[in-house]
Amino acid sequence: METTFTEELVSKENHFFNFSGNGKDLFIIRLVNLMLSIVTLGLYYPWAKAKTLKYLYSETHLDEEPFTFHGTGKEMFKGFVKIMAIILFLYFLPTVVRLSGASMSLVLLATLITFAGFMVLIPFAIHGTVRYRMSRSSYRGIHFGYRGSLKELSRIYYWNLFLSVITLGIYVPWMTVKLRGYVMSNIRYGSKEFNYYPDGGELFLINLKYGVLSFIAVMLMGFILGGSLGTSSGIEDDFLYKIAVFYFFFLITILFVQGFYQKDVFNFHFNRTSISDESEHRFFGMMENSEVFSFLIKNVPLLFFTAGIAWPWVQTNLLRMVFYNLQIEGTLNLDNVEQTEASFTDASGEDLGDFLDLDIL
Amino acid sequence: MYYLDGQTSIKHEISLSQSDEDIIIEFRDNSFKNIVWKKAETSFDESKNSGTTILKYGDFPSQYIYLSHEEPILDDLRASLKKKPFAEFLTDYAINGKGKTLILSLLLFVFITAAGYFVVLPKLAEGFVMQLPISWEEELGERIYDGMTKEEFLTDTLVSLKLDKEGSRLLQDFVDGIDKDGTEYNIRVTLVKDDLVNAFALPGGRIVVFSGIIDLMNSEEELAALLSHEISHVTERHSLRNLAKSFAGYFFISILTGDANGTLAFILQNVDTMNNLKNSREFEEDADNVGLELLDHNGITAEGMVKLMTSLAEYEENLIGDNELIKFLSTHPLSKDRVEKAQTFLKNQTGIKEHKVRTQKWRRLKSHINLND
Repeated sequence: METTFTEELVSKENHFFNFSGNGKDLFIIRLVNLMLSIVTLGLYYPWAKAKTLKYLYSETHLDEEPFTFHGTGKEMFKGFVKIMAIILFLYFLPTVVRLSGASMSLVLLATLITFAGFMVLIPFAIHGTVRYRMSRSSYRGIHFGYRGSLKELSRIYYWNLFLSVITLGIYVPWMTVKLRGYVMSNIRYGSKEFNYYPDGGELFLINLKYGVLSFIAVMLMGFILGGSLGTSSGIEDDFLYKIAVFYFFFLITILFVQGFYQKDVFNFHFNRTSISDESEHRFFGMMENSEVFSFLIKNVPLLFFTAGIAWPWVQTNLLRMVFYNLQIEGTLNLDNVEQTEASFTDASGEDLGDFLDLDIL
Repeated sequence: MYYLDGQTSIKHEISLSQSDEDIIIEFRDNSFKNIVWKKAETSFDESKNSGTTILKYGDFPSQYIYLSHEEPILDDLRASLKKKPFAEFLTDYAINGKGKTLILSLLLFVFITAAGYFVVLPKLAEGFVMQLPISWEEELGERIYDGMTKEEFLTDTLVSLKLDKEGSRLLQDFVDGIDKDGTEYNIRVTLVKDDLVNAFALPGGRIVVFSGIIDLMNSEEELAALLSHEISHVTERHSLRNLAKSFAGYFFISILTGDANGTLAFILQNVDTMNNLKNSREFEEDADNVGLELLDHNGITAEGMVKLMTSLAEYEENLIGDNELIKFLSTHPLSKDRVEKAQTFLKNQTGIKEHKVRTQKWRRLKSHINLND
């Protein structure tokens, strides 16, 4: 499989994505979410999330048609309640057992149950999130779907986790592409299927490249700073000031390297994704260094100088750049999709993924 | 405008008309019969940015109509369609506002965040915690105490406190001689043999004192001052309140950064930690003030507090110097400030009494500690 696209394939007849949302809208949505969340002591969160996703989806277009998110706060709230119950149970089990005066071995058993319980939760979270999100997403009236099995996913997850552990993390890129591959190949858009061609080796090289780059960048920054901060700055609490300056530049350096890293990962994943009906149609991930650079130059200072308040603007800028650089091969026919997927409204996996902070989609 | 039937992705060009209760869909190419939707069951979503309005009807898989949001039929249609839930209505209303809305929203945002974080949530949390019965506090205090002192609960990281049984008895004797102004709490003190210059109070009434701090003392008033301070922590329920405030702060930060960037959350959490330290210092000041009142109530001179704070200040300076950073990060206000406060109180104090029994108890305790050093 070719790993990069050639000029001939990028024709004007390709399918284009674009994102039309803006920071002001997102900021206001977040503001209302915040106020209602405070008033309801956090209970409003599922509705807040639903509204945010709904907005982001409806501003995302393919061939100038919007996507739609159908998830509701109610569904996610129910899932949330279920998940909280399970998590609280697992979390407090060892403590309750211990306080009730049981023997040490029983306490140990309870702790093991909790540990095992939390372990099982991760594949469940991935599975549940993808299934719920896909079912609640539609384009041109046709819903997406996920046909993967929890059992198979768990099997892949644990086997790959094991390999990652015994290789002290080196295997992680391979695990990432295997999981992504499994999930992707089981996603459906109506009657169309998705495919993903894993290449752990290349991802590993990307990780390595940026690991080394970060190291060099930080060393370089430290060297340059060390020169200018070498003498006393004449500011009271000189030490504190120097630490702050160093930390600040460290964060900026890391953010910049991260930006370029994410660009490579984005291109990597999407250039290996395709959607098929009778024939296969590739995705193209086309982000370039120059775009990433101008994005970072504009948005990182913006974020810093507004103490994070500008985050909604940065987020929409990011989405705009990302979708601008995503295309599907022109030969794909979007007029002949049939609704083949079933409705799935159990949001507990989605809420669990949220709780565990898994960054899946 | 076009129609999607939810079964395939084919777009059908249509035209719309309406009656009182229905929307009628006519297919331009007459390929299908007219379709009727009930207005009350049709929901709509609009994107100002892309200029599209989407009408949705029916359960999964729903049918859709896509049209420009400027279509004249929408003007009166909007009012009769399915109502949005209030929260969504509020959000959409806010989004469609003008530029002034943005500035106002920003100010509102900052104000609400500040108010919520610094005032509302902490007060709520504190208020809630103050309603909890004393027995719960005592239970909690016992658990913590056991965790520090009983062998079977100790982990590798915690070091066992060397309890001084005889010293504790003498110290308890001394404490019992202080009038605690009718508090419901059962104050129990424990003496620990250690050079550490420290003492702390647990929720529910237990107080732990390290022999190191008594070594610094030369008079019974100083011990009385220390104990009054710790007793105040107990009676004012500072541990619980501090916990509640910290939790409220953390909880608030979680809501605020709910689905946002990890770096932002991290920065805010650090700010939160700084704020927690500030709260701790406020409680310490409070304990100083209430402690001084308790001393006064017992007719004990605040001179003891002054001497104790002075000794502590010297001790601190030997350790860390007069550093602004340390002051900022400290959980106690610096002793120099506390000395000044105590001196002011001393000037206005009246009604100081001698108490021979208390002096005796002090001497017994002090000699016990000196002997065992």
